[in-house]
Amino acid sequence: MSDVYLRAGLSGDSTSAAFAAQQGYLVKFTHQPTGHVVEFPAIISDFSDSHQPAVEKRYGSSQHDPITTMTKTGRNISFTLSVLNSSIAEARHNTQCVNLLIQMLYPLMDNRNAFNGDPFINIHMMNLLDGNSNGDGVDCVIESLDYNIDFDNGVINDDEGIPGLNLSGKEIYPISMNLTIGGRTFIQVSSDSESPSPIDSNYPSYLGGR
Amino acid sequence: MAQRRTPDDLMFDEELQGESLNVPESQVDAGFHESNMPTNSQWEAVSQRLEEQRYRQSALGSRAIIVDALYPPLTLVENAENGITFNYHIAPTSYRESFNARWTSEEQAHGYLNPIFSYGGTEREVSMSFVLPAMTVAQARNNLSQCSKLSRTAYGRYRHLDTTTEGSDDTPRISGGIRVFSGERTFIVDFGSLIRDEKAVVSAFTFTVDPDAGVFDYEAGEDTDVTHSTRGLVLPRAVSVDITLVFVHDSPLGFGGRRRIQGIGDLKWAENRDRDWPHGTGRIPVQEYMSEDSYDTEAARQNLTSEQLTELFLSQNEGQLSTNAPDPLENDSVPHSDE
Repeated sequence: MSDVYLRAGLSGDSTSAAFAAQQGYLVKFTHQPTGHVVEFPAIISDFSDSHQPAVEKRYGSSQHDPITTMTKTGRNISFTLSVLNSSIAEARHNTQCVNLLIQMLYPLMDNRNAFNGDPFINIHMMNLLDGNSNGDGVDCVIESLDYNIDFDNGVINDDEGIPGLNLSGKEIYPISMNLTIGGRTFIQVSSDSESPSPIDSNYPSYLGGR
Repeated sequence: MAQRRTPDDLMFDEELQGESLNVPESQVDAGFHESNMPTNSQWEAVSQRLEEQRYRQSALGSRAIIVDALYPPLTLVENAENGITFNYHIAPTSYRESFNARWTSEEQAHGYLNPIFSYGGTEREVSMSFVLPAMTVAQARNNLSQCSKLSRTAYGRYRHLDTTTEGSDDTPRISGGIRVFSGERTFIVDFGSLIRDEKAVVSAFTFTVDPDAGVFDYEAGEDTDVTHSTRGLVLPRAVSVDITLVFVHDSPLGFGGRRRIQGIGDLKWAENRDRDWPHGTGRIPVQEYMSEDSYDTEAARQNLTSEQLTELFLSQNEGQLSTNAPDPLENDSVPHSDE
């Protein structure tokens, strides 16, 4: 079987999805061990990208300022992605896309069910998570994914669930749901062996390669 | 209890009267003649509108009906004999499903850019909150009874261990028994397409009374819709519940795995059951990577080991996880807060 490529928000007529597609506001997730891809209209309500140096501080007698020692710098990202459903058909398709995103938190297994491909995920979100100037996204370790339903915006429902799989046979899809994703990123090492720093001069490239 | 007319209803009534049967005014006094009779389609239209009006009045009058119409019942069926069964229509206010991956990283040497990560697994947990409104004393009693039942899901199971020793000529028979804690209760949980017959343990339960909604007061005599006859009994008009479920999956989670046929399903979802996961999508076809593996030829089947065949059989068992789950065809018997 070849890799999977799913795109959310394209089977319905959601204006926001159409606008996002027209503007190129898309967020793409690639599951590294399998190569499966899912893409969403980037309806982002929160985005934070924090670079956290580990700085140890030591103090001496009669000294105001600490002696600092930096050991490393980590990078944590967190964002909230909203997925909107404007019809039952779109809700079902988007649910399949969200399902694939959730499944990306699980590994590839061998034929004894042992984990043999850790679920690293590459995220590309416009120029905000663009990687270096080549625009191939940022490799991440996703530690948490929260799926939240906003019931105040209503739900779409139907009775076509399969009773063998779903006791009540009822389907329920939120009109609006939020996916809050938090994780750590890998820092791309520069391919320029002549450069004194292993960090690419364009890192983290918030402006992208544009 | 009389239904209160809302502006929407009044507008709807006017609309209905205005429409009448669309009989021209000139024909109104022309006597009862066959040509003046409304056509079948007119009768059908009016009857449909009346039906709709009745539904709107009932739906506006009873939030419970709206709850039943919009949301599936929440069902928890314990995986044990004489276990707890909770099957009730709820009005959800929040639903949060968390997937937490366990990653560890070793302390990296100074100056190294990236640590070595190792993956340990991914946990799934659902926290949901819902409201149980009561419009009558009977509903309030039923809500409290259902909450009592649901709260017991958070406690473990015990069993009685007989410690009786048989007597002999020299020693007397000593009868006795002790209670032994036999661990947490596990449930098959169903909530429409969001949670579909999955095994879970209740890890938190909180019951909250909404004081702003008020309570039903005591009045000597019989219970009525709005007063009760038990002095000192507090019957809240609305209670809310927060419950957290930790899922324990029966099938392998990941891609590939031993339930998949090597060479065909290496990159497909491991469950191999032709269903979406974690959330259902009705009767639309699953994506190809979620579809069941099948062998095209008998020769391909012969190549499978007995272990692979067993796994394939397990994955194709239609997921009958619970034998004592309520019959899905008897949905009408699902109680809601009207009862």
